[in-house]
Amino acid sequence: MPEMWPHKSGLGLMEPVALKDHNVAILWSDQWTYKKVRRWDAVPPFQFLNLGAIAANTTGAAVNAVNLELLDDEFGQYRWWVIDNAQVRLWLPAASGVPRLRNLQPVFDSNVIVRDPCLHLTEFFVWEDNRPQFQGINGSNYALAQARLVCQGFRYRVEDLPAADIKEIQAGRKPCVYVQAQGF
Amino acid sequence: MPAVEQKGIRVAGPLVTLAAAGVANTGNLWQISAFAQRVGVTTARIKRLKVVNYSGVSTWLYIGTGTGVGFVQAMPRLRLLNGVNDDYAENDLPEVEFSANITCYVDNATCEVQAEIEEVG
Repeated sequence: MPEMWPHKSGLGLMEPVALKDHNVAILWSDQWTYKKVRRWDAVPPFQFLNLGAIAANTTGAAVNAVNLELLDDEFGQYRWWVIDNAQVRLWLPAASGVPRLRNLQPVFDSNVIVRDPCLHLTEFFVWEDNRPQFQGINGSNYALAQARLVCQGFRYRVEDLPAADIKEIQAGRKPCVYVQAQGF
Repeated sequence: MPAVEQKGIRVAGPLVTLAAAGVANTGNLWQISAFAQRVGVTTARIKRLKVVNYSGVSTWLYIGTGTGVGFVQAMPRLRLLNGVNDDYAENDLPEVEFSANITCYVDNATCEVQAEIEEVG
């Protein structure tokens, strides 16, 4: 099994980042948790959040995306886009932007479908019930009646790895997929 | 997959009813976004124009920026025949990049105008 990294798989439609029995390391709260995939399932495109009406030239409040929560020992791989003409910030967790640069936090808008049709650059991961937040910006001079977000992806259930396997992964002798379920 | 030439987000502007003729009576075809929270400036291009003239005579439609004596025409005027709907698609219009509000007026009223805009930036 080759070593895989999210975002590395290149062109093409969305694929699962790991398969059954693949090792994964999940980054949450700056701690790597090593697990093995027991099973996984696809999540078709669905509207998971509506940020609601946003007045012209206004930044809305950050809203919890509770519909992306998962159970214990599960993580989600999501790609998403905005249907309406809003710019949207993604936070994971609340104070950490995804993505985030030194001086600003880039936003997503419906342009991403044009620039990156397979939505690679929107990909993020959710560990268990550590849900992300989304915040809409209406930069236009007219009110938005709604700001709807759609996502798709995969849901993974994982199980513990033997300590010996974790040491092998950390030593670089066993392959592993590194999943960052938090922003910067 | 969207057309390759698409550079921005396409949205419809408001329905503009030009109930009075002349450059002093311009309508606002599109307002440029200028929200400080947006990083960088936003411009706009007209990708489609739907017009109807029910003034009783054929007339001219002028598209540009500003109003009154400050109006600056941005593209060749369009002839609107009386009682006719006209539909100008992307290939019929020049790629004028507007960085100020897009305004328009007619020589004879009343006409209705609506634009589909591509916001860039």
